[in-house]
Amino acid sequence: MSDELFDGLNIAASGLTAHRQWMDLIAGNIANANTTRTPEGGPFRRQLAVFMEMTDDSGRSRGVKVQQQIEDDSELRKVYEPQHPDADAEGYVSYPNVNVVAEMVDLIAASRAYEANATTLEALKSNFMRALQTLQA
Amino acid sequence: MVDVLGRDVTLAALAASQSALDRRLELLAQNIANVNTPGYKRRDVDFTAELAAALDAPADSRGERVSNLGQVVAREIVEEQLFLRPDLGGVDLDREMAELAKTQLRLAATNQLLYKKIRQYRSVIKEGRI
Repeated sequence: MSDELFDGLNIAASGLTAHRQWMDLIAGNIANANTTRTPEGGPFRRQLAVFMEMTDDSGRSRGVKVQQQIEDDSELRKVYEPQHPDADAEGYVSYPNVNVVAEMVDLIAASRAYEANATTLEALKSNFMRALQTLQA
Repeated sequence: MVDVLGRDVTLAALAASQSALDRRLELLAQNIANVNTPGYKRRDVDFTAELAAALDAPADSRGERVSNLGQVVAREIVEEQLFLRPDLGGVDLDREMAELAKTQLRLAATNQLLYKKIRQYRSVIKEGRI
């Protein structure tokens, strides 16, 4: 790869990107916790991020990425609301399979990982700065 | 002309340890980036034993010792054990952050010693002035 010198910084940056993407998905899940209509039709389904390690052809570390975004196909939450326009024949409305408490737990994990990657970035940067100072000796 | 830098064992040892620590920092970055990757196995480098062996190895001259140090490679290790649960990765974030801090301090120390070493040469070149 062209800039081997900054490999570490790129890795930390990929970690920041991947975890920000995850946090975006969580934000979407929480925002749509009660959404019964989507452009594709039907209620909103919880979105999950699939993380994958990135390496180049020679097996050298390249960080991480959100390889795909999948839908949680677990059962939807059924609530008896006969007046609701999206109620089925028996009067039940299918609400998204989003558990707000579980999403908050994921959010904490994602934000902790994001902070850790930011710390790594800072560590790598200060290492470069120190090396530059050595050159001024 | 005598190759002064080519016989400086301290300089060679500092250079070897600096490049191994740099590599370590990169691998720690990879571990931390993959803290939420299922099935990820943590990486690390092992070089202290090899560095110590290169410093202690019998050598006929300082030049030979320096070239021994030049051959020290940071051996990459992959830890097979997964942390906590198999559906999670092998990364314990708190441990990685502690290792990161340690590596940073070691790098700072190595850097400081390199700085002093270069200042020493500079002082000699300038015949003690400044």
